[in-house]
Amino acid sequence: MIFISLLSALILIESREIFQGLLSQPFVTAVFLIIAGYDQYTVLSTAVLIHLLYLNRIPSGTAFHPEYPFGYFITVAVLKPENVNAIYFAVLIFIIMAISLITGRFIAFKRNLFEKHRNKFIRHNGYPDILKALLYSFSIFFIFALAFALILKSISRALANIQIFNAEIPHSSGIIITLCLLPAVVYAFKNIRRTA
Amino acid sequence: MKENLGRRTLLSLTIRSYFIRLFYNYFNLFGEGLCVCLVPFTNEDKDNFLKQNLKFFNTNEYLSGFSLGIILRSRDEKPENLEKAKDILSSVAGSVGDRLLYKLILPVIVLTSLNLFAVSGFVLTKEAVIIVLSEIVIFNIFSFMLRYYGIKNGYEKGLESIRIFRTAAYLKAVSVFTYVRNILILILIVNLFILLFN
Repeated sequence: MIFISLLSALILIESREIFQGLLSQPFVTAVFLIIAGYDQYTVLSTAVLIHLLYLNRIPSGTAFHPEYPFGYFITVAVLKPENVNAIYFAVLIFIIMAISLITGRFIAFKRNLFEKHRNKFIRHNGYPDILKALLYSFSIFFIFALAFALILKSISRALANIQIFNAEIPHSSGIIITLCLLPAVVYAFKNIRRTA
Repeated sequence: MKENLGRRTLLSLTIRSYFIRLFYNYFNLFGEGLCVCLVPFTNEDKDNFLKQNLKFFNTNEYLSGFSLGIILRSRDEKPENLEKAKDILSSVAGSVGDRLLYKLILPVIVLTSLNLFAVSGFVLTKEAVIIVLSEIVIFNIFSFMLRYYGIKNGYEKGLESIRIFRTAAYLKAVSVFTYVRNILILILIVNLFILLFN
């Protein structure tokens, strides 16, 4: 749990605050999750859908942006879903989207906190300091990730006891692919129309 | 004023530019990050420098190199034009960078990987791993070069350096990337349909 929270904090800091080398993007973290032994089909189909849902959004300026790299990684890493049916898949996507939205709001809150107490947290002798700011961001993100990991752990226990998530649902993989197709078509429609 | 920045200064500024977003805030956006990057490279008193530069400044993190180079040059050459240069950079670097990176380059990289996942039926193949890792390496080399040459050109040519975003070659590259992105999303739709009916 602590290791996953540490990795989630690193993912959040990479996607939001430093480096931005795409290492935190779901299509990359999915590869590492599979290498670590997670279920390929679930990890990749979830990554595809999450990317397609957020591909049109620009994480810039003061605009609100859902933190989907963090939401994707922590949810999949903690819940460790295997051979999911369409209902479990939909719930998984819902949880990732909810965590991404909450994290987006949390980043805005953290930045407001920066403004009020910046001298204390990110400055050294009154001057902005990279190491201090990095440590401040990382510790806040780690505590935030740990709290979410604990919540997700209890969700995973609850989900394991609900029969419908383990039931055989006809055409489950077809439904999952259709769910991926819908945002792909919307993305194509929006962008190709704009180009034309 | 020096004609060129030394390689050591360029590398140090490039590395610092990776941390520019760490200080992003709603009061001055990238203003504080800009100060963090530039403070070690000015001869001015630190307090005075912060007082003068902790102001609103917007950029795109990947194109921040141009901003750093241009601002360093303006400070050395014509300090009276510094605020004007910052205003121009705030609007140009922010919007051009966001559109280039988040609307074109990132979708092309992501859609290439998503196509690989869909073609294999959501099974991770060796080829997919190699391509994903290659994309990451290529993107990071590109990102480093963009920052490094942004600082270099920004310092050598000043505001003239951002004219590159209005050249025919740049516009052609944007149009090629747009077509590639559109083709990739169409291929992904076809791949998902094939997967659906298999």
